[in-house]
Amino acid sequence: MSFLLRQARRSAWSGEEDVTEERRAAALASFGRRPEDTDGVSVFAVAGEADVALVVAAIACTKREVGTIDLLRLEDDEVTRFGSISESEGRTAVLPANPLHRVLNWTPEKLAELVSHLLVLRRKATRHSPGAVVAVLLALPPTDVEEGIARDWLVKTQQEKARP
Amino acid sequence: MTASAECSPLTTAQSTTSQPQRPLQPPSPLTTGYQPFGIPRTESECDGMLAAAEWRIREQPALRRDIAADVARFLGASSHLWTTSRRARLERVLISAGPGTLGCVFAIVAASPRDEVVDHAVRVLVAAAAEDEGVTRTLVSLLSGSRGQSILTQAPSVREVMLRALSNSTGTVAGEAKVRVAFVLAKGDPSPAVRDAAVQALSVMGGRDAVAILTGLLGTLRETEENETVLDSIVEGLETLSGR
Repeated sequence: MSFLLRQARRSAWSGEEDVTEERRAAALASFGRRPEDTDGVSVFAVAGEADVALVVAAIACTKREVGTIDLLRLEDDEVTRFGSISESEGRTAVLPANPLHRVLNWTPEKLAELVSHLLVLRRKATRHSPGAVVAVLLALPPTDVEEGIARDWLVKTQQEKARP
Repeated sequence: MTASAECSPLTTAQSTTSQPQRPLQPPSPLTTGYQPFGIPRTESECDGMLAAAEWRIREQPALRRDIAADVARFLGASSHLWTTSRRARLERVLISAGPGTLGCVFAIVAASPRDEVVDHAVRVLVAAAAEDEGVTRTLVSLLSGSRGQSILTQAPSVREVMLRALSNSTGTVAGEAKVRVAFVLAKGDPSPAVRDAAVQALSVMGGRDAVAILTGLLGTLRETEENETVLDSIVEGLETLSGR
C-alpha cells in the first residue's frame, strides 16, 4: 500500500456529487500555489497507518493545535498522470515525518487539472477528529519532535491530555 | 511569545484612541512608497529578510502595516526555507507590527485560503490573543457584526480563521460571547466551511454545555442542513465529547 496524503479540508472535499462553485473554488484553493511557494504543493508519501499517524502528528505539531485534521488521499498513479512527484525533505516539526515529504512542483494550471479530476472522482477527505489527533500525539515520543517550541508544546499537550 | 502585554503594540494601540477604524483593510504599498521584500531563495536570504523586517518594525513604526502586509505573504509558504523556528519568527514580526496586522493576515487568507496558510494565520491570531485579550474581543466583535459591518462581507476563509482563533484562544474574556457567535454562524452562515468550523469551535468552547449546545444544533439543523460535512461534524463532536 502506497499513496499520497495532502492536507485539505473536508468541507471542500466532501465527496458529494454536486460540485457547487464555492466548493470547486475551495478545492482549487486547497491546491493553490503562490509565487512564495517556491517548492510546490506539499504532499506526504505514506505506506501504511503508522505513516498516516506521523503525518497527522507532523501537521498538529507544526500548527501547534489539537484540532481536526482533514487529509485527502491521492493514489500515486492518478497523480503521475498529471505530473511528477518530487523528492523534498520536509521541514515539519516531527522529524520522522520529514522523509515522507514530497512536492508537486507543478504549474497552477496543472494542479487545477488534478483537482478537477479528483472532483469528478468524488474524492472525500478523511477527517481525523481532535480525539484521534490527541491519541496520535500521546503516542509520539517527544524526542521525535525538533527541540524548541514544537517539542515544548507537545510535552505540555501530553501532560494536559494524559490527566485523568 | 515573550513580550509582555504592556509592551505589546496590539495592547498599546487598543488602549489608546488610535484603534483602527477599518481593521480589516490591508494597506496599499503605493501610498507609502514601501519597497517589498523579494522572495527568499536561500536560508541566508530568508534570515536576512526576517532580520530586516524585525529591524524595520522596531525602527520605522510608520511602516509597520506595510511590513506586515508584505511579510504576511509568507504565511504557510511551501518552501524548505520556512522551518518551525522561522515560521515562529514570522509570527512575532506580524504580532509586533501592531493592530494593522489583523487586516493584513485576513487579506492573505482571503487571497490564498489553502490549509497551510489558514493554519499559520490561526497561529498568529492565537499568539496575538495570548498577549492581548483585546484581540479576542475584536474577533468577537467582528464576527458578530457589532462594528456596523456584516461579517459576511469578509471571505469565508477569513470567518473560519477568526472562529478557529477564538476556539484556540485561552484567555478568559468573552466566553459566552464566543459561544454565541459560533452558534449563530453554525446555524446560519452561508458557507459550509464556516458552519463546519463553527461546529468544531462549539465542541471546544462550549465547555460543560457543549453536549447540550450540539444536541440542540443537531435538532435544529437535521432537517435543513444540506451539507453532510456539517452534520457529520456535529455527530463527531458529540461522540468526542461523550468519550471524554
